Amino acid sequence: MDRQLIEHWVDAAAPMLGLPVDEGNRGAVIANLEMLAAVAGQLEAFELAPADEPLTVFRR
Amino acid sequence: MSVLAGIEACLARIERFDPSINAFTAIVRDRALARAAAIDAARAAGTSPGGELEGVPFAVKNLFDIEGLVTIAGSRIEAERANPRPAAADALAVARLEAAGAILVGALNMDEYAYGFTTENTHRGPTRNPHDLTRMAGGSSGGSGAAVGAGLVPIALGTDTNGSIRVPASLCGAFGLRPTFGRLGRGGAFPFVFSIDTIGPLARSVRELALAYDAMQGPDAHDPGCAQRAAEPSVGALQADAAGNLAGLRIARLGGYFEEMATPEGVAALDVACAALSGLTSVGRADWPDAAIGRAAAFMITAVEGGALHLDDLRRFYNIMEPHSRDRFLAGALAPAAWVHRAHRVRRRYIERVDTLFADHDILLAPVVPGVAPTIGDDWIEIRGRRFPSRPSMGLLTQPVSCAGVPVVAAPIAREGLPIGIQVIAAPWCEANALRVAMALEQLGVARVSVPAAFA
Repeated sequence: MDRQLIEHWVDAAAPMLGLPVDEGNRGAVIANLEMLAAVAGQLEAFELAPADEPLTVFRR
Repeated sequence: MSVLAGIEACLARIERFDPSINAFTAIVRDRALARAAAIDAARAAGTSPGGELEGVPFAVKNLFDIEGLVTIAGSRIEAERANPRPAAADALAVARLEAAGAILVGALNMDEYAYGFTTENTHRGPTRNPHDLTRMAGGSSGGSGAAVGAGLVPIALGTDTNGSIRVPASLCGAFGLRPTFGRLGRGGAFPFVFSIDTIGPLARSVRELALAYDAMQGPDAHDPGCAQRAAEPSVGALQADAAGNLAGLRIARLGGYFEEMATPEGVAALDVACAALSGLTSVGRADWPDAAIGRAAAFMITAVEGGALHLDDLRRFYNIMEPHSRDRFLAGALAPAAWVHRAHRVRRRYIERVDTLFADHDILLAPVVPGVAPTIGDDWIEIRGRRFPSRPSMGLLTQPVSCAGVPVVAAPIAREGLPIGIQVIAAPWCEANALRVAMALEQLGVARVSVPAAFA
C-alpha cells in the first residue's frame, strides 16, 4: 500500500478516535500501520469462501 | 523439613538472587509464611489433605490478580490511576493452585500488557536471563521464565497469546505448557487478546508442569472463552517409564517454514530431540499448512484487539505507556475493521487445515524460537543471513501454533551454552500426549532444566 495513503489515513483517523499522534510518534505509528497493511495484503491473498466465518457461539 | 522452613528457604533464595535477574515485582512474604504455617499445623493435626503440590512455592506473572495487590500487568497506568483498586480476590488459577496446596510467594515482571517477547520493561527494568545476565529472558512472561530458570521457584504461571510462555521457557531453559485455547479459565487474569489468550504453567520438570496444569483445570463461569470442560487430569498418563511408552504415538518433525525461520542452532536442538525419539518410535516429517498465513492472522488480530482494549489508555496515558509497544498498540487501534475481520475469517479456515494434520499425526515437533537469547537492547536478529526486527520476530515459530489453538509444551534441550527449546505440539485437547513426549525427553536426559552455577 502506498505510504502516502497510510499517512493520510493516520492524520484523519487519529483525531477521529481521539488518539495522540504528533511529530514525536507519527513516523513510528505510520511504520507500524504500514506493517499491518502488508499483513492485510497477505490475508487478502488467502482464498476464502463466503461461508468461511468465525461463527461466534453464544452460550446462554 | 517443615513447609514453613521450605518457604523461608525459597524467600531467602529470592532475596539473594533476584536482584541480578529482576524477575520479581512483588513478594507476598506474610501471606506465604502464614499459609505455610497453616499447612504445617494441619499436618500436625492430621487434617492436611496432602498431595504433591502441598507446600510447593509458586509465583505468577503480574497480570494475575492477587488479593490485596493492584494488578499492574507490567504497566505504570494500573498503579497510577486516580483510584487504583487492589484485587478483591485471587485469580481463579491462583486460587486453584493454592487449593491444591501450593503456596504463592510473589508476582513476576512482564512486557507491558503482554505485548512483547523480551520483558525489556521500561518501568521496572528488564528481566535478565539467568544463563547470561546480558541477554533477554524472553517474554512476555519473562519474569516467569527467569524465576524458574534460575531455580527461584519450581513453578510459575504465565500467559501465552503468541508465544509468551514458550519463548521465555526456551530462552531461560524451563518447561512450559500452553494448553488448548479454552482449556483453562482466565478469570482474574488481565486480558490482552481475548480470542487468543491462554494461561499456563512453567516448571522445572514435566511432572510439576502437569501437576500445576491439572490443578488449574475445570470450568470458569467468569471466562466466556473457557470451554467449560470437566477436568481431564494428565498426570495419570505420565508413567515412570515414559520413554518406554511412546509406542502408538505418531510423531513427526515440521519442515518447511519451521526450518527456514530457525537458525542452525534451533534446528540442531530439534535434531537432538528427534534423534533421541527415533530410538523409541518412528519419527516422520510433516509440513504445517499455511504457517506464514497463520502468523499473519495472529499478528493482525493481536494488534487490533490489543489496540481496541487499550484505546482509552492510549488517549489518556500515552506518555506513561511502554515506549517499546505503545505505537504498535496505537497502529492497531487505527487499523481498518475489514483487516481484522478478514484475519478472523482466515483463522477459521486455517484452523480447519491445521486440524487435518492430526488425522495422521499425534505429535509434531518444531523449534520454539529462531535461536538463542539475543542481547538486551538488540533491535535485530539474524536468521540464515536475513535480518529481522528482534521484538516481533521472536514469535515467528510460536505464532502459527497458537493461532491454531492447539496445545504445546516447550521443552528445554540439554546442550552446552545458552538454552534453546523445542515445541512438542499435540492435537486439540490432547495435552497429555505432549506431556508424555516431553517427559520421555526428560527421562532420556535430552530435555532438562539446568540451574546456572551462579544460582546454585
